Amino acid sequence: MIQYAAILMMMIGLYGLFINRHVMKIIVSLNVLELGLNLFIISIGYVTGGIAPIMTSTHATSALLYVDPLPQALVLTSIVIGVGTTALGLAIARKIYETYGTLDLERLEDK
Amino acid sequence: MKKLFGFVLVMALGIIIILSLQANPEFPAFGDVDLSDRISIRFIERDAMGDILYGITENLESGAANIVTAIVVDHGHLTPGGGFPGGTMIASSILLLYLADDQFRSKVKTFKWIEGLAGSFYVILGIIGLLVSGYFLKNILPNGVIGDLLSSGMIPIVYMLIGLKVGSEIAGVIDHFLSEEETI
Amino acid sequence: MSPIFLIAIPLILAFLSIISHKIAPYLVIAGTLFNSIALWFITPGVHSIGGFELPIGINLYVDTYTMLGLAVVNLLFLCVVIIHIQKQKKYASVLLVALVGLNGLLLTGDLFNLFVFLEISGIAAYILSTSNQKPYHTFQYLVMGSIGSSLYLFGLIILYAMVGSLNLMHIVHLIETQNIPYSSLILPFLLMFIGLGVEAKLLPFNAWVKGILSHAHGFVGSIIASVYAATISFVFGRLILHVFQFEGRILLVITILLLVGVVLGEAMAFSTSKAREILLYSSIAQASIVILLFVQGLVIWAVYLIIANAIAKFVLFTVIGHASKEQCDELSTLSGLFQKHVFVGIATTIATLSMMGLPLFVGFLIKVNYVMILANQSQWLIIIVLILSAVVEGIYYVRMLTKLWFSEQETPNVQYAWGVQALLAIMAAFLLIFGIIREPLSRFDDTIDQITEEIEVLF
Repeated sequence: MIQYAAILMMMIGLYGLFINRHVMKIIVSLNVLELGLNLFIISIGYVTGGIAPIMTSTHATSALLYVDPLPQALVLTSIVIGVGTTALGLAIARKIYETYGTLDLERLEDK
Repeated sequence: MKKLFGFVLVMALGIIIILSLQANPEFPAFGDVDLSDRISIRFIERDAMGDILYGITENLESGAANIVTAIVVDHGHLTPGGGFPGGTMIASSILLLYLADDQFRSKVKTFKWIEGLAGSFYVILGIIGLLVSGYFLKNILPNGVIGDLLSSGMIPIVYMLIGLKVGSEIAGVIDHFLSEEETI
Repeated sequence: MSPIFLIAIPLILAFLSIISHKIAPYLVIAGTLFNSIALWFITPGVHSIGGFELPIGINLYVDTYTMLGLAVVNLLFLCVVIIHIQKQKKYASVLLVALVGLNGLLLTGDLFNLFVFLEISGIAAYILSTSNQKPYHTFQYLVMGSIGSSLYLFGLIILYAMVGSLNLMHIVHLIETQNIPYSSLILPFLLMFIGLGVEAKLLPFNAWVKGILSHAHGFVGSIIASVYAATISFVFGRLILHVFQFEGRILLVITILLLVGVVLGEAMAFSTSKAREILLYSSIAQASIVILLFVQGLVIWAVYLIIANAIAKFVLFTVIGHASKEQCDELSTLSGLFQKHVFVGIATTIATLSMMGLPLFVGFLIKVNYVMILANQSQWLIIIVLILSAVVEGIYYVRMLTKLWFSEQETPNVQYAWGVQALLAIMAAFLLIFGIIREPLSRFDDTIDQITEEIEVLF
């Protein structure tokens, strides 16, 4: 069920990118798209009845049922990349405001 | 009209993807994953035999609130957290100081030096691993007792460098933007 | 020498160059010189990072295909830095980060590492394209690039859930031994193809190209249209030949999409009258031709076409980009440009004639060879479309050249430094020499890609 929710969230993000004409709303839709993608990556690794993949002195054997640790590492990298891209997008939005005086992309004169 | 068209298109795309994932015999249903098909099983089954010493970590989060950030960065191999979230906490503590007081200016002027040197030390650490043992970023320090602060090889050093780099980088950007009116 | 130095040394120099703005240009020159010299000494084979054995960790893979890619990309980047670093001192750190991203894209053997380097070089390209001073088009490029990378990651995660590994060679091995039916692999492969196609200027996703490259003066045009295009085409070739291996109905769909891309690209180039728009629509069409050749399986001629296109587009974008810095680039305002600069004119003429495919230049050899091989495979539709597009290309390039050589009114006032003219003359000489002496081209053939033997040895 969580996989359907994640794909639905990605589709909502794509819809937002398709419709909107205001720069801030486009950046928010991009973040929603990447959020849905990260949720989907996490949901790939779940094992029913599994425990956290950490070895402690009470769970000291490797024959127990562990959740997959690899997608958790992939998601950390993906979140950091999303932060970097959002920061750059906001800096460019400020430049758009300084150059054209408006943040509404339909009313731009001399594109 | 364009909104309706876009909505229908996007929902159709989503339904196509969900149906094709369900009809795919190789894509496992949620929770039915068999980990022995994946390469993660080799991570889990690696060092399970007797030469691991277990210790106990106690009194982890005690201390004043403004060193919580340093504790999160530093204990990355024992608790959730580590370099990147700890560095962001350092930067947001500086942002809170800027937001609380209009006249506050950071006394630390060397953000660029810390950022540049921390980043270079990370890559130099990797090259040292290459020269010593033939693989880039190989773990060359001993693993120690799990649960102590100085354990698990190079990982606390790497986390501290990353925490310093991320913290000083974002704090430098905040400092540059919010004190801009003096440099014009 | 281990190939990790090609990535690690520019990364150290990039971190050090943000400390002081005054020494940053010297660090850029040092980094690119180091890369251009060190790439001839790297040892081929599989190099793993961190000491982990093969399917677990990240590894770098070097063979003849990789070496050709590294040589082209690093040497062209050195030329860009030498020509432009004097005026663009602000972009020194970003140029080093772009160099790290491009080398990492060519060397890596792990698909998630490919996503990370794709994002790194993408962010460097967004920052470099702000030198056009058109923030709306940079924003459009950023949004489309991020959508493309997210779709690529989506496809990759579905592939991981099905197959169980992230390593390129291990995935190829597992797809063969697990006998997965091809119809269940169509969705992840299509998503990954779309994701990479946004950066590679394929047809339905290239709305950003017109905005960025039609206002490009200075170094943006030569970096994005020649260096980045060559890198992404090499990456695409590696993935199409071994991982995707299109067959059946999806092969038909992809071929038709690429042919439509070629036709539309050439048609739009024919109907415009601005010099930079002609060049960018021609780049779109050539990118589709290269991917079409990879899909049909002609490895070595696609690689030669990538190299010839990269060199020719570098010459053209440098000349036209510099000339349109002060005035607009309608062909009527630029007419008569070469009457005062004869060397630059000869270099541009050689590059253009090579792209058109006239005999005596290397473009002709490449066109003849791939048409003959396609005729052996009886792909008549593709041959007809390619020959028609070559004819259309000839018409508009000749029209552009005649406007630039012969003037109707006063000639524009443009200066070219003598170092730039020498560099362009050397590149044009390359295209001329390899067109006449055809022996070095036949030294490599379709066996430059040695991954399949490597997979048999390892697994």
